[in-house]
Amino acid sequence: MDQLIPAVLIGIVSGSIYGLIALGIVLIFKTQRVVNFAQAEFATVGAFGLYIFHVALGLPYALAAVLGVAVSGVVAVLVERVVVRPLLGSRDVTVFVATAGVALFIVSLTLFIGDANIRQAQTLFPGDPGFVVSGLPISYQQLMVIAILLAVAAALTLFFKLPVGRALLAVSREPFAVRLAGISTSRLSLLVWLMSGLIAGLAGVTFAPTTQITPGLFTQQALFPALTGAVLGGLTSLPGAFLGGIVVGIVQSSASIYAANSGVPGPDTAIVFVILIAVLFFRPQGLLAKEA
Amino acid sequence: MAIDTTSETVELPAPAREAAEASAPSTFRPSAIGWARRYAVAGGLVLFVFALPVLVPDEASANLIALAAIYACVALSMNVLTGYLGQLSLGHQAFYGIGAFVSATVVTSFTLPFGAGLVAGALSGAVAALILGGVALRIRGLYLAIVTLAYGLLAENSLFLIRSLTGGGAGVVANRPTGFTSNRAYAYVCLGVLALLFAFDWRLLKSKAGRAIQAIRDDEKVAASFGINITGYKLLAFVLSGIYAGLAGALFAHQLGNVVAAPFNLTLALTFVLMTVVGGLGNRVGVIIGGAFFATIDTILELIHGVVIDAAELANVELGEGIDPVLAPVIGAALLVLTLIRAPGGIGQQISPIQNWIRGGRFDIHSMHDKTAALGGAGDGRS
Repeated sequence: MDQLIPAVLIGIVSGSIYGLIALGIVLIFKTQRVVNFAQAEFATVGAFGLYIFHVALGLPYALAAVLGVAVSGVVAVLVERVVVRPLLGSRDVTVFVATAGVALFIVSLTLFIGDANIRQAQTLFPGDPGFVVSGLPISYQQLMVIAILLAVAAALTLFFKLPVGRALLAVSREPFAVRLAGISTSRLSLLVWLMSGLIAGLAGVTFAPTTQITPGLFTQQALFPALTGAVLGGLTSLPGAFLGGIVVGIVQSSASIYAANSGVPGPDTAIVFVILIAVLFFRPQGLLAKEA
Repeated sequence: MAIDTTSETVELPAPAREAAEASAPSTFRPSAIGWARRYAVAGGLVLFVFALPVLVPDEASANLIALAAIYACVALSMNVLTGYLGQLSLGHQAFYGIGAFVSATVVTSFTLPFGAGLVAGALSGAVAALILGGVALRIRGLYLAIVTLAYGLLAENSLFLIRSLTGGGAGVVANRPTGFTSNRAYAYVCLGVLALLFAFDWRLLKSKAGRAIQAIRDDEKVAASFGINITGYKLLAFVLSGIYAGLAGALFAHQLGNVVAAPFNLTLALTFVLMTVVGGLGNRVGVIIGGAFFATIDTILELIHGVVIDAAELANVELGEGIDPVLAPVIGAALLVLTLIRAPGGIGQQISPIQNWIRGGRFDIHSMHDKTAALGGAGDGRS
């Protein structure tokens, strides 16, 4: 039992990242029926932005972080305009493949610009003493990740109370009726991608200092768990994505800790695969899915 | 010498001309000389491909031809699933890698001949694909695409890292068959397997099974109402795709000589998707060209870079040293997006006028739009 608390804590930290990326995936899927394979890579863009602006260009930390998030947003908007918009109306798998191409493009581009060097971004808290919970050191930066997830979730809840947010919900139900009501679905789509990009950027900027920044970092580590989290939550449910991400994170870290000596490599991937298959077989609508 | 632009020949207005042409092709038959030309061109192309291992300047380039043939086999495998059945696979590195490790183990640990390795590789790929096919009976479309992604990741992160099966970091030794140890000879083995797969795939598509698989792609419910055994033919498509990929993996293992887990990663799976989509889904020749292109793109870039460097030296301009190997995926991804948006038929769409001509039609550059399989297939998601 003494391993359970650390497992849950690590799980919540990594699960927060999955949750943030899953929120972006769900936000886009909800309004456009598009699964964005490049969502995790938007986070890597934010992390690279932070590193380049702060370490390479010497800008103040806060400014670099804001710029990093902004770069993610800009990239997401570009992807929407250049790749997704011309493909709307084609089969969902086609758009999925196109976004997979975008992810590969961004990974290669970051490799091309900065080689495969390992980068380390500074944390927001100089020295970052952190604290220890039942033998497990938790840094303030890791707490930041959880705080950002909660903040984003709260902001999204508020957002959907606003007229714009209501219009977004309406688009997910009846895009045609929304156009009839004189609302530009094109602008809403742009807004959704901008929001998803910014959320991913926030995830990248806050999580990056706790690890080393490499090209494709988030696609390798977070895309599949985040997708599973989103599917677990129902793919259209924002609270579902939030919870799904955290559940996947906790299950994954528990599997890593408890199966560490079992001799099976990669227990964290295996357990997520099991979750995905189980959800799709027995509850394909997800745990928290509502209509649309 | 002014050219008379107001010539007297009467041009039909565009719609009338199209109508006239639309009725024409059914009656068109090439003359005997026409057929001779077509056979000569087709034969010349085949001969050219098979002469490539001898034509290339050195052994290293011959190795590249072998890799191009292997990738072409994988492209045919992807084409069965994605082009014919309409189901995207993001986990093809699993079948490919399993075929590679099984063949290497059979040849090295069990000291069986190379042919047994190929057969074992193909069968193991089939079994791996059959398992995924079982999942595909319940889950469809986008969700199945996510499952294939997960399947590939599972193989990459768990299966291929089991030390007792794959030798960990040291890998498994996979020797080439005696008599085919040189790169040139081995390239012929790969080209031979590719030719067999090509012929098999061609006959498959003409058979009842081929038509049934495509009918399932176009509309599963309609196909079922015509009495097509959906379960059986779906599984068959998966098994065939697994066999092709397993064979390609086995060839790849012995081309390398020593198989390690590292190459079978998500980037490879994405490259497989890229080359098939860019090659043109459903077009056999197109996907083979796509596969060969993506296998050799690095070297092509190096060659271009070499030419540029030479030119720059002549002009006394300083350039950086070698070209970055990651430029290839950048180009590949850009090609993918361009293909999806502008020319969904990919390379296959571009070469279809030539294919039509060889099959005995008129050479018509405007016949590019027909016969392109759409990505995605029937069903809008979950079952």
